[in-house]
Amino acid sequence: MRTYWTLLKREIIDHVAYFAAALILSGLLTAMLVSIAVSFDGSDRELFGIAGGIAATIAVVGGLCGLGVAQMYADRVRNISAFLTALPVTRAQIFIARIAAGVLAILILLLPPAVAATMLLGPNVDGVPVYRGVVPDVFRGLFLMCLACYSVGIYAGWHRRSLAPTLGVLPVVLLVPLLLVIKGFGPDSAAILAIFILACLAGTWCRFASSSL
Amino acid sequence: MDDHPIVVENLVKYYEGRCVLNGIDLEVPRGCIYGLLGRNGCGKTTLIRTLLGLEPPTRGRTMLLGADSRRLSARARARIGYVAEGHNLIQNYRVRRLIGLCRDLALHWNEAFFSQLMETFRLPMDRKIKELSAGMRAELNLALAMAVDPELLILDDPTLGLDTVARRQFLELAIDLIQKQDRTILFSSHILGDVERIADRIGIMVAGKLIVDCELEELKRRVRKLQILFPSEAPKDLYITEIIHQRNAGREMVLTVADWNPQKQAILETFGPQSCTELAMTLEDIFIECTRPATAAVVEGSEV
Repeated sequence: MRTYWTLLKREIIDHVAYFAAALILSGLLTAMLVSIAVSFDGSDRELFGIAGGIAATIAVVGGLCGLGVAQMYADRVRNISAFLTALPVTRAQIFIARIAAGVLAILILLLPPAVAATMLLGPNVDGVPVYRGVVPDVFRGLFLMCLACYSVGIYAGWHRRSLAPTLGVLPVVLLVPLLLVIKGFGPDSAAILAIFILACLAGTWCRFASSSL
Repeated sequence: MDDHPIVVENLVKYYEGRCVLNGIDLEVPRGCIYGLLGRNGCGKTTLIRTLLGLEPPTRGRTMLLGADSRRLSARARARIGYVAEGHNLIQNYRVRRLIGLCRDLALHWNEAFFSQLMETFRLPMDRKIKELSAGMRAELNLALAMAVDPELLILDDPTLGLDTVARRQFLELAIDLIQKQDRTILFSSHILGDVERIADRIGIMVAGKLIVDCELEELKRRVRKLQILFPSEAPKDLYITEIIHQRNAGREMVLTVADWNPQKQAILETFGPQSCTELAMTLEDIFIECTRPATAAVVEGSEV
């Protein structure tokens, strides 16, 4: 476990800007949820501004894809895995620690708003008229969406030698949230996203495990 | 398998359609200091990278410490120290952070020995790796490799890019460290003097092939260079096996040949030479003779 922890710590320190951004965005989302709940007056107005929602989605999706690209691209450019595998570290450990760092960034981003939403829609709170049971579905969907974008990032980051084509996947990644817009947060979209994530991770692992370092 | 920490079996590696390693077979016995020689681009680094599992082989297999290179466990890797060509360290890390990372990841770390080395090197701990000189990077890389008390040490052209003074300092320290502890060492270089000082077994690579693999003393004993004078023009069709290099100039023939014996002497006598003088050969002479482009094909069928 010490190896995994060291590798995870290395990933966090090397990409600290992404983790800090996730923390700030998480705080803003949580504050926004609390603000809506507190100021809700029972009218039928929209709970979220569309523009704000789109901006937040782009930031989240782009940021997580960027994190995946940055992790793999930096590895290629700086020969990080080549150095690490000369130590008592296997490629599998490097890969798992890297994915764990990505999942951690997503949890930093989503967990505080999820906890806030659960509390604000609690049984003893009079507030926004939203069905409580929707919260787990929404956050599961958002988690999978974030993980899908991150997975596309690491896939593209390892597959492309130059940065420009790698950044070319960013517009493609923006299509992922559309799946949730079209299909909703139900089990169908969760299944599609899960398959997509597994395919991306499996593809990246196959290339990462067999390529020259 | 345990008696041979390094085993290479029929290793072939193609890179972008070019054959970089062509059927390498090699076994390095435990406790041996193996000097791998070859000109730039002959495949030394590719062989070492394949051994460490950094490059997948096209065909054949390589084993380190009894385990397949492609499936080396963390525990097996912990027994190997590696100094990469060009000192492949994480360039944007500071020295302190890189040391901390290596220390945290090591399964065994000899802190007392490492501190002693760092005291000798006096490396600036707060400087980034990319800001260090080539000599400092080499020292740091060697210290990191030695701190884990490796059972197997692989040094890939560790003095590449160092000036003469830094190279001499580095080698003297390396020799000191190597001699203190009984371990298997694979040492690659294109600087003959470095290898001659350290190695007790030699491998010479030419164009992706290992054309020489024997003990240093045996190599010196087996390869002969003869200066032969004939009454008239030196014959071009001298049918002697294991000729490494042959150069004719008028009446004179300079012949480098492996395994000189009475049979070969008798064949030579049939051409009626006027005189035959043996020329002294250093390892450098042998290396130059073996790595001449025109000789590769001649030596191929007669591994020394």
